[in-house]
Amino acid sequence: MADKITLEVARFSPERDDELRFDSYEVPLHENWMVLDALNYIKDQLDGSVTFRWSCRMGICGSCGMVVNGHERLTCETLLADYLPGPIRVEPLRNFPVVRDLVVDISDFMEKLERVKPWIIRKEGAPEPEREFLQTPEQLETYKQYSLCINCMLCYSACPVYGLDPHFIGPAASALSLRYNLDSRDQGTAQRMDVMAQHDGVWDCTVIGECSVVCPKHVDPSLAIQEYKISATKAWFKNLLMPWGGK
Amino acid sequence: MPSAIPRPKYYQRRMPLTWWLERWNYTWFILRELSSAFVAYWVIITLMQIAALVGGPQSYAGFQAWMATPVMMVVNLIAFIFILFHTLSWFRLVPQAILPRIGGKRTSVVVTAAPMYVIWAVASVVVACFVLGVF
Repeated sequence: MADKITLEVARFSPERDDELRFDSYEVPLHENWMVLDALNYIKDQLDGSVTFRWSCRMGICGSCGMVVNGHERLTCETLLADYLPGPIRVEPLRNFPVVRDLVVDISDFMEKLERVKPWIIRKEGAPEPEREFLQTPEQLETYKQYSLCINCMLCYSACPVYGLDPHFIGPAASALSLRYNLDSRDQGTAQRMDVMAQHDGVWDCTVIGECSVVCPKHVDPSLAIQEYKISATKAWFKNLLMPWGGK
Repeated sequence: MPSAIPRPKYYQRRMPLTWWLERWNYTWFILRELSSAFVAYWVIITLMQIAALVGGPQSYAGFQAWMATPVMMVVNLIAFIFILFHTLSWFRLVPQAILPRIGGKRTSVVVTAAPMYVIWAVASVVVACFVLGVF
């Protein structure tokens, strides 16, 4: 095995650059090193100005998502050795404005996430429970898959619909919205439906499916969006056909 | 001398026109959408066929002769390939869009997809039997 590998790292300095440029760095190739380890080596040993986000180094925090050789990856769980003989091109997530080098502005995602109310909503005036809510394993199973989302935004980077129409609510926000709708403790489906059943909500999705391919937690946001479409259609028909909207 | 135009704070990558060539999934999606045009073409041809049939034997013979021209044979072959692709792509898509729950558990991709392929195969055999005069 070679003892070195080259990384081509995307650079952008708002003070002097108009678009991305690439700097090459040669890093030691250790068997268990991830792309994130190589970036940290560059920052510590070769060029302290290289800027990127990271935190947990164990695929939980969702901070270190980048585009590695054209595909979205959590760099903390992407082995350098898988890209031999190199070079490895590391770019910031697509479809987001680049702040500096590999750091993108996530405010659009944060705004969308808040809009879908990803928390448990109880009906106004509902009596305060005297103890914690109980759930059966089956009730947990209903939403568990969607609760595994770590907000890494790889799905937004891989979604051409979001790239072409930034108003689209997007994959992760949809999956997290459905996660709470499916929770037996929640009573906020109607509130979320007001956001999700719009054109810019789930109906913008054209089922390309790349969001589910790149998801490092196998959340399958594409499936969540299609499930949402079915429940939105059911709610619409119920509203249309049943007296008083089936209430 | 400093520029009078302030630099943008961020860099925003523009989606290139050829974005759909960047990944196989994107290309598959565009081909799937494009194949709808061939489905529409096939519907029009079928309506024309019915109209020719209603018009009598001479009219239908004219339709058949038109269909037998080399240009129409090539066009129909391309349409057939795209319609086949359209069918398969939607069959492939169904488990990506619907995985019903039975007894609280999600069904597998195979359980969702298999009935479609079975029905397709049975329907094809029945149609083939009609065309080949078995019935």
